[in-house]
Amino acid sequence: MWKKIFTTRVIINTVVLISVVLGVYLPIKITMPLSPEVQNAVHLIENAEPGSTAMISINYAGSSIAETEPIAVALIRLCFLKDVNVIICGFFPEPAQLAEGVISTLGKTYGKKPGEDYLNLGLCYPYDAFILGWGRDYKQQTGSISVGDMVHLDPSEYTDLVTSNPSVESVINSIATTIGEDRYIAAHLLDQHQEELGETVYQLLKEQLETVTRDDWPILQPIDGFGDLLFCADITGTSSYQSWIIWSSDYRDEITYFAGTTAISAPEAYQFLQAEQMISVIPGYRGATEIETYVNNQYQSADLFRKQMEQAGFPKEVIAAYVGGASRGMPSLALVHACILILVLIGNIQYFLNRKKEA
Amino acid sequence: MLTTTIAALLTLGAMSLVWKENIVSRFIEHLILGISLGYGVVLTYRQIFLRLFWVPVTTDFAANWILILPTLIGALWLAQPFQKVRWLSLIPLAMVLGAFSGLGLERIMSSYIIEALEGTVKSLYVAGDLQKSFDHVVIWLGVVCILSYFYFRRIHNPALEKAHEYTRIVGIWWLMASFGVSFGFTVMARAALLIYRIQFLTQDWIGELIKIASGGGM
Repeated sequence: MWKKIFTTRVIINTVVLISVVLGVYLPIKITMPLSPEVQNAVHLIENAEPGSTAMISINYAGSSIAETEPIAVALIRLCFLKDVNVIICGFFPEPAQLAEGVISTLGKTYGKKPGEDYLNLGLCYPYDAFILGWGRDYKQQTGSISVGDMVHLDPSEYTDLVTSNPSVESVINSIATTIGEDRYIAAHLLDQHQEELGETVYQLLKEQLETVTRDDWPILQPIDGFGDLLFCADITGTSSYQSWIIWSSDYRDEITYFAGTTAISAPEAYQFLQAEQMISVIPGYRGATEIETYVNNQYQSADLFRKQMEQAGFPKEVIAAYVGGASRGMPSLALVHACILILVLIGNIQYFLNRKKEA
Repeated sequence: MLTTTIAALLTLGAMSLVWKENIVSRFIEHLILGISLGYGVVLTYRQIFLRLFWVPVTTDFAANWILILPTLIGALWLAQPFQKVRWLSLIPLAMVLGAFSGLGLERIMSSYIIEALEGTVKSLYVAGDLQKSFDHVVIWLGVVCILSYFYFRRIHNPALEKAHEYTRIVGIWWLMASFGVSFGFTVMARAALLIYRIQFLTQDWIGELIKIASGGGM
């Protein structure tokens, strides 16, 4: 009976599970120095002129969020601490929504202004047209559906509106959260709720929607194409990082590009690094931990970051996800690797012993 | 706390698969597939159809009427299930393939082949940078030995055959090393997912349950 329950599979899984749980509870602290493939990206941000702008496309979804979101958090945090502006976009519907969460949380934490210090372009689909368009001077594009009609509305104006009109708070908020979407959707929502909002609020919002266009956002003023961006990066759970390489190939001399990938995709990404098609690969949890540790040691400790998030009014679940999101899992990861190594060794010894016996 | 508990129970149910496949894990599998598909359809409808087509056209027809044309062509995909008109679905297929090939062929060739070759065929010696020189030697050796393993299996020249014996072995070692790297990274990725869930179970769920039980509030 015990033999039936304790199959090899169950034993291996139990060993892995125990090592993960132990890693969560044991007071082990693992710090990771910057590896050569990660340090190019970090040094690029470190040496950037304050006020320069970077573009990060976020293309991970729920299935890969564990590895990729810590990369996004660490990278954007470093950008904000070095006063580098960040433009965010997503190539697929779900990531575009996740991107808004990351950028608005960190933006609020560091007191950054939307439209000035950061901007979420929302869903930029089709992404091939989006990348080609940015390379060519996106401001000259007419009828672009990806970039052309995005609009951000100043949250402080919404706060005033909500304070003065508490009864329509939910409606105003739903319009406010169309950040990252385009003016058509916002206008559509506005028209739907015209009666509820009342004439004054309706007119105020409508006026802003009609007058504020993409080019009004200060962050976009000095940018004509890839050449004006500090870097472009893709943080992804898919192979979308290769789309950047393909569709921006005409502008290889202008664009500085790197990717944050899941660990599974990383080995494939290294070939593009070797071919100098990108300057860095940030491989999953390990890469995120390296940047996180570096930022914590050089610029802002984890405790200070936690305090800043608390002051910004975030609940503890959000703070727990953002502060030390990657390095917290490193002890477990190290233990799992050690266990797998030992299991591989045992398996090999067993194999050679069996072969000897058979011979 | 209720939603966290449901999420925790579903996580445990999904994890029960590591023991053996059972009705709970299968139910959760189907649940995830159903939810993902449903969520994906709604999200795509809202973000693509509504946002990029319906709302622009109905809000400002004069400026956006042109969007009707590609949408109608795209709608021909829906002819797929109907035998008699299935050929219509070839029109959008041809357009997509044509556009992609036209726009992408040169760029894909350049990105995947030409630049990759440039990255491989490099000078073996880089002045003043021993590390890079070593890297380039390793790459050269790896490429030559692995190519010899795959492409020169039947050589009828005794001298070359002898050389091939060695390059073949080195090629296998190189391949094994690269598979090992991939395996290590795969372990890292899978472990990361497990860690994420274990942290959720131990901290967000059990941790909170303990707090509530000890009167720490909800």
